[in-house]
Amino acid sequence: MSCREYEADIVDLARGAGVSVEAEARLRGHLDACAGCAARLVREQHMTAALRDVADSAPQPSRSDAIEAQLLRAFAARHAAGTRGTASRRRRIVARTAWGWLATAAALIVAAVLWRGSARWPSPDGAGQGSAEVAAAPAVSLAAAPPAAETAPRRDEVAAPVLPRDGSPQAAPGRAGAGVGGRALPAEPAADDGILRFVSLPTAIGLPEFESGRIVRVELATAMLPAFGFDVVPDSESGVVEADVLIGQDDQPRAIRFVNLKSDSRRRQ
Amino acid sequence: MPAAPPTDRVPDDELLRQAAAGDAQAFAELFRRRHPDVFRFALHLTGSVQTAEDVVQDVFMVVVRDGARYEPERATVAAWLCGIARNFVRQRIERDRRLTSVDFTDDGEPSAVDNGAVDPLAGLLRAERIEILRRAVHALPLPYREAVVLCDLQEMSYGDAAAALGCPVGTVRSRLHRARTMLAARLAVSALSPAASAADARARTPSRDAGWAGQAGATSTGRG
Repeated sequence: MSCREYEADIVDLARGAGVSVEAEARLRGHLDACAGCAARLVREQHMTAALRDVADSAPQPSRSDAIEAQLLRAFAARHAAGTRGTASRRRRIVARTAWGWLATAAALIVAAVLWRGSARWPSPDGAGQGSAEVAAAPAVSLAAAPPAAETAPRRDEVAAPVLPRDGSPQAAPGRAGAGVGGRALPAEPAADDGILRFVSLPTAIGLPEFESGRIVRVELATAMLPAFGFDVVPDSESGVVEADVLIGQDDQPRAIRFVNLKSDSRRRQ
Repeated sequence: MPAAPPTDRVPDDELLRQAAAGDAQAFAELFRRRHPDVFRFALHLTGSVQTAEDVVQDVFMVVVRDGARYEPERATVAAWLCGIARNFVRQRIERDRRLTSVDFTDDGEPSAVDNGAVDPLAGLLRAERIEILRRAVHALPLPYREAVVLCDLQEMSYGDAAAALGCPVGTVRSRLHRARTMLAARLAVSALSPAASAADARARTPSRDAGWAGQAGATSTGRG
């Protein structure tokens, strides 16, 4: 081996770094015969010692206490935020679960309606003057209700309808889209003006603004009403109530209005 | 030289794990144990106490935020911390070119001085030797400086240095050997007039020296 090939081992030996037994034995043999490499080893040892002097000469940090205090404050803030974040995430998960359940319920309603097909909702005078598309959903699976009478389907688009208590549909253009869609409707269970108003479904929050839609009539088990925010005193022997569901332009249910619901039913505030 | 850890103390990686889980005492203990290593590493790379302290703070803020990302199978905690410090140092050097040396050429090539026959450190007073060598280290191109600082000044193993630098062990070893050759060559030049070189060096870069040798905590003495 040439002297150059021993250089790395000489440096490692001088530094006290690990050199294998075999490599050190070979190196020692070479050093005995090569004055140049022996001198190189001495110089490297001096270099190592001098570098350690440099390391030892380094000053100590002068602001350690201040830095530590600042870091500990940041640490406390970080982990406090982490704890709050965890609690917040937990609340969001609970809320998401509730919204998910409601969305499922609404989807089931719509699915049941669509499955049953559309049916005309007869106007009170029998002249078919209603403007809303109404579909009978007599056997909503969740309600286990007896089938309602088939009615002829209508397919008129409506805008934020307000229906009179007697059930005859009439559009209220001035209220078009109000509170239906991206925003929640105000709690408005039974208006004093004698008409039942639509109230937004929780699942409508975040949907695009209501533009147009249709109304479908369904029957709901009264047991489901709390899910929509209603405290209901069930007076139906069958345990079901009729409701109109406002379906938006994207086929998503936006609002609900109960039909023939007794006045002791109250929307929870 | 880092002291060998007592066997009864909590290992670094366990402290880090506890800190990541929110244990402030573990974090404080880890900081007290390891911040001198980070400080010295940054100090030797930058030559500035102020910058080194800023880097310490930056590094341990990363621990506060991302301590859970440490992977014990990849590096020791000390190497991991030095790797983070290295990134901050490089950012600062990029940002502030004043931290780079202007005293020596940084072409990465050792000079052609024949240092085979002369020990450049022989005959120097200790303080002179320290000062000249410190400046020579600081004048090394950054990759070589990092290798010298980690392996020779911090006495880190090749493996840990490789983890800190993000390169293979062989690269660290070859950089270190090359760096020492560069140092010897530069010291040989200084050795022609060591006292004058040291005095001249101090005079030419007062700000950097003030940031190191001028510190109250410096342990450098005039012992010969």
